[in-house]
Amino acid sequence: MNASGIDQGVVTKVEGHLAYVELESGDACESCGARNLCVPLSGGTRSIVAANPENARVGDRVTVEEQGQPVLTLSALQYGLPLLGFFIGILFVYGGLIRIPFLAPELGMFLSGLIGLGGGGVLAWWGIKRLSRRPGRFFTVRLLR
Amino acid sequence: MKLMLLFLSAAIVNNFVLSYFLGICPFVGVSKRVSSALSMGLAVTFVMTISATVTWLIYNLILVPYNVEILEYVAFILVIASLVQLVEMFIRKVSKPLYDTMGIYLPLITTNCAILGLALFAVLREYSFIESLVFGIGAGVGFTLALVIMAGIREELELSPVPKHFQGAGITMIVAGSLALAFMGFAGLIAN
Repeated sequence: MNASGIDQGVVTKVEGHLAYVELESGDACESCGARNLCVPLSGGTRSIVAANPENARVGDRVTVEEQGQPVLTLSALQYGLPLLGFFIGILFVYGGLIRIPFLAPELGMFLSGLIGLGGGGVLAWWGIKRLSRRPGRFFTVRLLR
Repeated sequence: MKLMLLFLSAAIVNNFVLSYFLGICPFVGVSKRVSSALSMGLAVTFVMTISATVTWLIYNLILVPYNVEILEYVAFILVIASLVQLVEMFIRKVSKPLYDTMGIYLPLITTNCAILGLALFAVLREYSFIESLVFGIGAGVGFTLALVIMAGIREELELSPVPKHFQGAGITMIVAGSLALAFMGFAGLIAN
């Protein structure tokens, strides 16, 4: 399984084979004029729980690496499934497979889409819950030397 | 066929990033790695599709009947901002690892002018509900495409001997300009 570095940060807590890493601000924020108003930066920090095979200690600077493509998989589940459900829901009414009385056709399509979106959301929630069972599964820390 | 052409038009010919230069902030900010570009693209496609349909309903079922089309900007901005907040809350609740890595990029969607542009274009071109939906998906796919191409090039650039003064934002802008020139080759292939 390939690994790629996503961010750098400092270890704030170590618990068994897991390390809690406080991430530094991402590249997307460096040049943003609104970063002082932005919640993820001004409201605190981002921290990630990662496997700690190199026994990093509190205060160590580390690189957080993804194992495989977890963020992409999670994104596909989180956004892809509900979007697909929304699209299918709308197509059901658009194609005439379902008729919703007393509503404008567009509202009917939207309502059906929302039901599909909800269904996709539940599936995504279930899939992510299954994937997230083991903490430290998605990320690993490597000591910065 | 018309919907297919609309999709291709929004995704490639009239690409929001490389033809209209909308959504440049995330295009430059989140295009360092292909996987984060794809994740961001998925998030933007999701928000674009949902907001295209919601703004269509608000415009055609509320603003037009009550003759208050002048409020479209305010209404659309509120809808988009609320939608992104909802998505952010949902992700924080459901998928902590995704929120920790993607959370920082989510506000970029709120301030992404491509999404407001999409809603305004859909109104201006008098798209139907289904056309708005397809337009939203096409624009999102086009945004993802631009982001992924850019990320692929930037990953290669990390291993290339870029002259010192062009490193960072300089070379990124040059690459973005070259990509926009390449996409100009599609101009006029499909009208809007």
